[in-house]
Amino acid sequence: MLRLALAGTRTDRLRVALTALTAALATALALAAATLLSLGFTPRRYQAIVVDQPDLRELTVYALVVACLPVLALAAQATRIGAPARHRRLAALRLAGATPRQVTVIVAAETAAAAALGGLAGLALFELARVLLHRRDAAGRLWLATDVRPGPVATAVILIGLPVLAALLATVLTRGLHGSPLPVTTRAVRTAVPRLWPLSLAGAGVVAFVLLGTADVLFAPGLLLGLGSAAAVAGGLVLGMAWVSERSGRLLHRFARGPAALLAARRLRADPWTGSRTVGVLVVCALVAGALLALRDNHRAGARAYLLSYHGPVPGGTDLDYQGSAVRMLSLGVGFAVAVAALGVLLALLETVAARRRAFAALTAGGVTRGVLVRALLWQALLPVTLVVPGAALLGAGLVRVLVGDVEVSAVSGCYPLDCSDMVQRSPTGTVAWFVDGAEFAAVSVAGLALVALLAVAAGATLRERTDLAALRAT
Amino acid sequence: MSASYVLLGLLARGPKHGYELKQAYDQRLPRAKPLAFGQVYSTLGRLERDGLVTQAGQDQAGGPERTTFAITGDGRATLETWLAEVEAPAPYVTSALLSKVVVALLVADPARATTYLSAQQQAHTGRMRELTRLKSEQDLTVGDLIAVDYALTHLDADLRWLQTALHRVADLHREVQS
Amino acid sequence: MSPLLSARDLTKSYGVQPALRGVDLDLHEGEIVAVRGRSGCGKSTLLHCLSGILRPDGGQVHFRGDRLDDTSEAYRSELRRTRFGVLLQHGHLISELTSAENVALPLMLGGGSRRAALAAAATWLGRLGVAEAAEQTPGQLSGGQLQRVALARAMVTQPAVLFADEPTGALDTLAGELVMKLLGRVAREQGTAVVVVTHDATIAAYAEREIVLLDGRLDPTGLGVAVAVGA
Repeated sequence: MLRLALAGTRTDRLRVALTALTAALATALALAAATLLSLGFTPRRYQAIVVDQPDLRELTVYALVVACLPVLALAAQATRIGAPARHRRLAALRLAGATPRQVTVIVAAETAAAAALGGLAGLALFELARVLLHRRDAAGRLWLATDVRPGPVATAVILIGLPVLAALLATVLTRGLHGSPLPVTTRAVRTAVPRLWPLSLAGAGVVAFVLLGTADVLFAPGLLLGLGSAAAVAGGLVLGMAWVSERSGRLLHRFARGPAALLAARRLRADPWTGSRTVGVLVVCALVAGALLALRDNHRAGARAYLLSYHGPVPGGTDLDYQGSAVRMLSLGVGFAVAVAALGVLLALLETVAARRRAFAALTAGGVTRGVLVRALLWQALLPVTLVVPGAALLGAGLVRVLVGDVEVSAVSGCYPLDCSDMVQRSPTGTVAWFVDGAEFAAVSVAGLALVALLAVAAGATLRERTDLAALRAT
Repeated sequence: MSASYVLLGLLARGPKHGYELKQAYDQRLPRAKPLAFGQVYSTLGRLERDGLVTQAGQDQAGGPERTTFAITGDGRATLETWLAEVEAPAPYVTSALLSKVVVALLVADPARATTYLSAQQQAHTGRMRELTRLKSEQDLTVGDLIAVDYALTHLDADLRWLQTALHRVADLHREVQS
Repeated sequence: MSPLLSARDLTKSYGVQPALRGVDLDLHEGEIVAVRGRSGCGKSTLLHCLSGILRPDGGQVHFRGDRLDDTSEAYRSELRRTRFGVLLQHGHLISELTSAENVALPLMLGGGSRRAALAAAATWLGRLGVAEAAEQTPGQLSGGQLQRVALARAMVTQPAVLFADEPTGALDTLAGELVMKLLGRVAREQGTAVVVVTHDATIAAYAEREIVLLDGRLDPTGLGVAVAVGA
């Protein structure tokens, strides 16, 4: 039976590979964060500011953890690749006499094995990075904290915890098999109507976040609450995407002119859940990207205010480097979020195309050109995305804005020695409002949408031009 | 003979004249051979002799065709028994078609067998086409449709059987050859 | 009268498996032809080659005098949408569209307005007796209704040829009879030629003539099996 369980098609191998890949990435990130945590709160002698200064280090840890979120979302999406075929195969196993527990074990084992493999790969990647990035500058300082290892406990937790988590997630996602061993036909499946409450949850999260932010709460419970409300916002948005997909489908149906729009509109309404999976990762990444953009622009504003406070030459100081490093790191973070998002969208679109091979084959047999099908895919992918993603990014930026508050402006009030080469005394003179650079934000949004469009076209390119007779025959 | 039971069944609905009986028979079994008047009365006579029907009245106009017949208690019982019996599903296989095909396949040479079988099949499919056209074109009663379906289904069964027989012999031939 | 659709010496193999080994067929306007044979004799492949879904390895297909088999996929796709109708065993309707939208789709794909296409769809659904199914999705229809909607979709573009592959295969006798009756009627009214692939003799009886395939070739005896004798 194990052999049956392991037997798989190309799609299954892809799923395993992607699970491993995302696990590797998440592991590497987690290990990096653990390394930084193990440095404690003392400043060390490192070149990179984000690693050297304790408070920035803390920020970096948070950033790494946050960067894990899109990766985990991607992992969750990866486990759903080839889900219909696997579902059928497992149902066949059930029909042959396997108990629900056995089937669950199979799924959990596959996921855990892939994740564990990925974890080891991540560890290897991490070690490799440590070796490659181990550089000393002229003063003998290391660039990054490559001389330190994460504690053994932390390493164990990460390497064991991730596969366990993955296995748990997989079992939860395949709970549908605990019912009848009969395969679920397309006729029998009733997709639930998307509800509005997740979006309300997101709204409540926003309100809570704003209240916490303006109340200037910085101690631990406040931080937890803040994280909680941020999670509520993110989770609410992701879960609420189904509602958005369904509504936008309805809207499109009313105004649709051509066949491509009609096909897309009906598809969105008929199965908003699959459509929302396309956007789920993207929404989380948009939130994160917006937040990171805001942080970056906050630092930029701070740097500008700082520079303005000097009426003469600026002594080379750690403060400016401080700002510069943070900005660079955050830009990297944005880029990372976008890359993960793109991969997530591509995956979801490929899954959509693959899962509906039969329907597409029937359409092609009836003479529908690939062009129409690709246009329908574009509508289907872009409509909910355009409606929500820029808003999510803006929301992320707004939340950060609320949290961070205005930029402090200070003036130099005294120096010792008088050329301000060593110690500088500053006194605050007020605050300055700031927000994300509108033009840049718009450019990033448009680029993001263009990317999604490109991915949709790419996924559409995988559609066969000729009628797929094998798919037609399959019942 | 089943004609007796059909008449009993018709009388179970209520007394009828001989003439009405013949009309009802023809209407219910349109594709069957029409019942002659003489046969109606001879059958009725037999049934009366056996106590299954009785003469219930006479019209003023007189004459045997105006005599009303009614079913008796015994008649009803006999009818019930007949309806409760299952028709033995073809215990004996008697068919001219069967004989000819068997002979063709076992005795004749392949060329002659092919000629005959091909012609037989054309005849069957031709008749099937006729009957199908009938169904589609004219307004038929339910009784008619049931009868046509009966014919079509049996023709189809003949053809299917023929196919199977040909395959069996072909397989056997292959086995014998190898 | 020259044939509407004609095939000469068609051959097609799937890898090393030959499906068609030289088949000829002539189809004239308004006639209904049945193609019979055992499973695997090449009937469906013949249909796919005639309708342009597949390109034959050898031989030629002519539609209205023009060669069909050596044209591009785009051209054949266009032809399938405008001049041919296809009816398969399982309707293959799009499950999220309503019946009316499914029937209207070919017209919309041809550039027609949505309103006009839906109106034509309503007419055809009425003609085939499934007007009440117009706003329902395929998942809510019975097998017989599904096939009639699929027939409406095939006929809505008023095709010159209708290709039907086991159209009643998934239906019970009476539902199948209704579909075949309607198929015959609309074909006659529109002057559409029909090719029906089936293994069922009662369905083939709806055609005016039939050809029988055996191992990818035409069987003149009509028996569909090689006659061996003696036991």
